Amino acid sequence: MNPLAVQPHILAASSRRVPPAFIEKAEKHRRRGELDKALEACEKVINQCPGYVSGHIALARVRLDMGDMPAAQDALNAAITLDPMNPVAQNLLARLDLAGGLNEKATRRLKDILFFYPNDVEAAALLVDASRPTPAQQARPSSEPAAVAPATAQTPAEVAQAELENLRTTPGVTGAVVVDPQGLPVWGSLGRGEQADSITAAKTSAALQVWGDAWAEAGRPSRAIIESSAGRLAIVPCGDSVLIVGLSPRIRPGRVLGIIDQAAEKLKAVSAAQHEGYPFGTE
Amino acid sequence: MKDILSELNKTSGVLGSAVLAPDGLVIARQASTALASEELWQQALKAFGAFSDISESSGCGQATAVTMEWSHGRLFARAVPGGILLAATRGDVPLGQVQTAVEQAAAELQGDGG
Repeated sequence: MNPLAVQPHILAASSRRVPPAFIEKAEKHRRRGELDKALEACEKVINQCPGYVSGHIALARVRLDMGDMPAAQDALNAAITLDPMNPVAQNLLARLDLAGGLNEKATRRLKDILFFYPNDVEAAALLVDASRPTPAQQARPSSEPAAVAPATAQTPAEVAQAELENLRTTPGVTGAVVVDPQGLPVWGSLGRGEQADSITAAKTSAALQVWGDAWAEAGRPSRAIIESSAGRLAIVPCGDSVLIVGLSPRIRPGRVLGIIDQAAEKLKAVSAAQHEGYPFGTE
Repeated sequence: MKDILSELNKTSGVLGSAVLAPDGLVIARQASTALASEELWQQALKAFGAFSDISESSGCGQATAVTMEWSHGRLFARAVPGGILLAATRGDVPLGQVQTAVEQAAAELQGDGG
């Protein structure tokens, strides 16, 4: 079956008018935490128009907020029966797969989404999560809930190294390094030797000054992408530090920018924790 | 050259564009009064130079294009024969759309000048 083909029941559903206000109403209730009212609004929409994909997705979100995962899964399965490659439904299902430790299933699902929607940042980010070992693979006792795992608190350096390692295993990423405020490479590598990393770090520090001074009216520097025939470099300030990521010339940057931004956010938190002088992840 | 810049400026979100020689001389510029200052474009060129330095030192070679983003705006810079093409945009403009327009303008400038 061609997943992109418009299914007859979708056409039938779209020919029946569903007032968008119903979904908006459900979402409004959900955001306010009025889950019973949100559920009622969703069920009303679905009863009125069972082929309305967004209605099933809205219902799934409500069920997720209620903590009823099996019911959320049912609603999402209904959505993808109607629209097999709906990226919102597929991403939510991938999240459920990951939550259940079904990383391989999530990976297959996410790769399918990225095949049809290569710029889907959420799917790309989830794929990184899916590549991490499951709790079972880490041989953690199954009775030990993941939420209390930070008994082994990591130092900022360990968290940063782990984050960079994850980044480096992302398809298309050739290297990643964090540069401190003094212009020195502190974590990671761009893969072209220590000397090249040191010079690049110093030059990046100098460029940051020029970048910040130029067009100050446009706000704070948030990201730069340098392109050359040999590849691309993404430069993202994260707190006092800067993250430099090397990218293969064959990869479309849009596909990994979301992942890089997420890593930068985490490194920013690491940097802040380090300044405050306590192990990252503990109070 | 001005026609090519005017056409580029028609892309949604583009606030102005210019072509500068590597020494900072403004060869052509089409921009609103907010971006009328030559110094502003020269600062942008300086930033392009700084990023190009990073590219060379990291072993990637000379930069052909740089996209600089701030919290409220973006600047696209692309090497063209005899200089650098710069385009300033709002911060909420899709990257791909402007990149395509800048590529097209660069190709036209290559035909125009070279």
